[in-house]
Amino acid sequence: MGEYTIGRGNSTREIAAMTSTPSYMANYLPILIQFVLALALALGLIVASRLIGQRRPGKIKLSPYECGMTPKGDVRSGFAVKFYLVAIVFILFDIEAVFLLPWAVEFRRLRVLGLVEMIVYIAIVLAGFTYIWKRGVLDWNTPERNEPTLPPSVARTGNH
Amino acid sequence: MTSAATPLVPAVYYLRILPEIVLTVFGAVIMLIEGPARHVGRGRTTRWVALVGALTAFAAVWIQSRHPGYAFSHLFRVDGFTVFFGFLLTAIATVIILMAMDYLPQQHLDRGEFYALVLFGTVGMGFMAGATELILMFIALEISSISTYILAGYRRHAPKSTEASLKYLLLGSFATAFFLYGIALIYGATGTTQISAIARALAHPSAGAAVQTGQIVLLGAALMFIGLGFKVSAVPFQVWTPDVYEGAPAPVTAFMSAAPKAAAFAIFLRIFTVALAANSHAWFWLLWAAALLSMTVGNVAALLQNNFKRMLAYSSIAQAGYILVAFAALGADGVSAVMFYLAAYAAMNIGAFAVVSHFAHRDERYVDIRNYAGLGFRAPWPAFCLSVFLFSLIGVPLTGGFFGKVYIFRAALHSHLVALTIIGLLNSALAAYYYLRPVVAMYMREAPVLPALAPGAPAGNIEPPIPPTAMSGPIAVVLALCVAVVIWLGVFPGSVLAYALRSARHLLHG
Repeated sequence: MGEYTIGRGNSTREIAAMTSTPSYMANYLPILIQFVLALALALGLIVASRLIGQRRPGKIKLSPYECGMTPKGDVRSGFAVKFYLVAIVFILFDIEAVFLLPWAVEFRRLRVLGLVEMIVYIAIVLAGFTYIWKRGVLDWNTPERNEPTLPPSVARTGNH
Repeated sequence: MTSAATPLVPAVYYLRILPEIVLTVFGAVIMLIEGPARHVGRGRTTRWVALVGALTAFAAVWIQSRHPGYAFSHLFRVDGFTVFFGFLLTAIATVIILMAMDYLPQQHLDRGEFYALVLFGTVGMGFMAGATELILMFIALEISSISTYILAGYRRHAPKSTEASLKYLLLGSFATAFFLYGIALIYGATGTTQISAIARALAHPSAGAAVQTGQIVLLGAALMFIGLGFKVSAVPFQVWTPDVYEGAPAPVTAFMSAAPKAAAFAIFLRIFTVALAANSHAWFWLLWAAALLSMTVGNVAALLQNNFKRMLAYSSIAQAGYILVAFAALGADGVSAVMFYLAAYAAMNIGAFAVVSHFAHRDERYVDIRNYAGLGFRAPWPAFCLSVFLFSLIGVPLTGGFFGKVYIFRAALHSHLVALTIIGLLNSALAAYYYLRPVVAMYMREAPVLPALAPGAPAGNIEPPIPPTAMSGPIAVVLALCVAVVIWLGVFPGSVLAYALRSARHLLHG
């Protein structure tokens, strides 16, 4: 490794000092070696199995592997757009948790200001939540409204 | 950082981001009204909320301008530059909301989400204008981009609109990834994401040759150039522009061609002329080439368009090229020319799109230039306004576009960019051809007789003339405002230019 390591607690000035030394890029040498090794191993294994492996293809062996289950049908069938909506809503609340955690850790130091800021932030998230709730994103019992509206020709080919 | 006596966050910090707070509150209120609403034409109440919100934000920029300085650990700075863009962006949002009041009911799309998205997008752009830290710039860029991605697909039953939204989303996310990678490399090379600190670190590299750091900085600059070049639709990152501008609803196209572009140029200027100023010899040629290509490719491709929105899309690529010429000129002259041109360009381009949006009719049926035949006699006022905007886009004297071009090419000549100036002037002449085509169609062509009335005529080639369209109040206000600004900037450019010059000097010298 080089003479410096960048880690937690380095000041801006320190980082600026280490990045401007010629040995800086040398710090990345292990990554390059790792990359070359990984590539060589992968290629080597493929080539080796080509050269010395035996091949006895069969119907089951050539079928696509799907976690041990027998594959049935096409994966590219249409499914309800509400899955995407739920996924997006999930990310929204995930981000909220990401913000809540550091705030909780630093709660004592941030005092009233932190509390007020967090209340404002949650109020904004809740405004969005009220919106999606009222628009029926969370309601699973409205299949016809959230189904994909494909033209008949596309719907026919997409359903088998 | 702060002593025990001073509070963690002084109250003045909130005044410095007041326009963004106002816009967020009004956007959230619209969503709360909009959520439970069930009836058709839901936008009827929310559009007034949005209009009041945009106007309040415009007023809030004035309050913001009374409190210059940094806010929130040097993340955001209120200076002349921020305020200039703040006024421009909130004015654009106001005009777009007025335009949508006319357009959305006509398209049977009158829902309040539109207005909320315009307000939220403007929040992002306002932060872009004032951000002095790369991560905040990135987040602001994303806020503005995500709003425009959704707005582009607002005519969701029209395949073209969905196509526009999807293309813009995929290519736009790709471009912002480049921008983020650029940020990472700059951080790696300098150890900071703050604009002023990056400038200091690059201006005084520590002894021992910063050769390798220099390479990382250049790579980072190039990657950020790709991301921002995409947002301002500079060649060679322009391929998305015509399709997205054509498919998006006309008011959204007007919005996209003015507001995010202006905000992206604000980031562009802050990063390149302030943070990376010490390396200008290296990235100057990127700007030079992008300016040359954007002007030429935009203008030549615009010559071939019949669709009005596609023509304006290529024209906006060419206009980005002119702005890049001023950018390449550097210095306070160049920066102030960029700012002045962005203001003039917003007025004339939004005006032109307002006319297109007004005459588009259900499902944007009439957006071909040939549809405009004879319109000068059937709808004299909108046709007159459209002519003013197109003359301004050419750069005819007495319009804002004229002085915009004068300042750009003057700045370029002062910086000895003679070749770029000559090519720019040739391009302006070339552009006159396609900008005059709609004017010729409106005033010198008879409206064609429809095949039903003339049985012998070939049915395929005749574009039907635009049917009589009643002027609505909001669109009349939009056109009057845009014409007033275009003429004002063309007759009394001094005060705006002086302000731009002052804030450009402030930007460049601390």
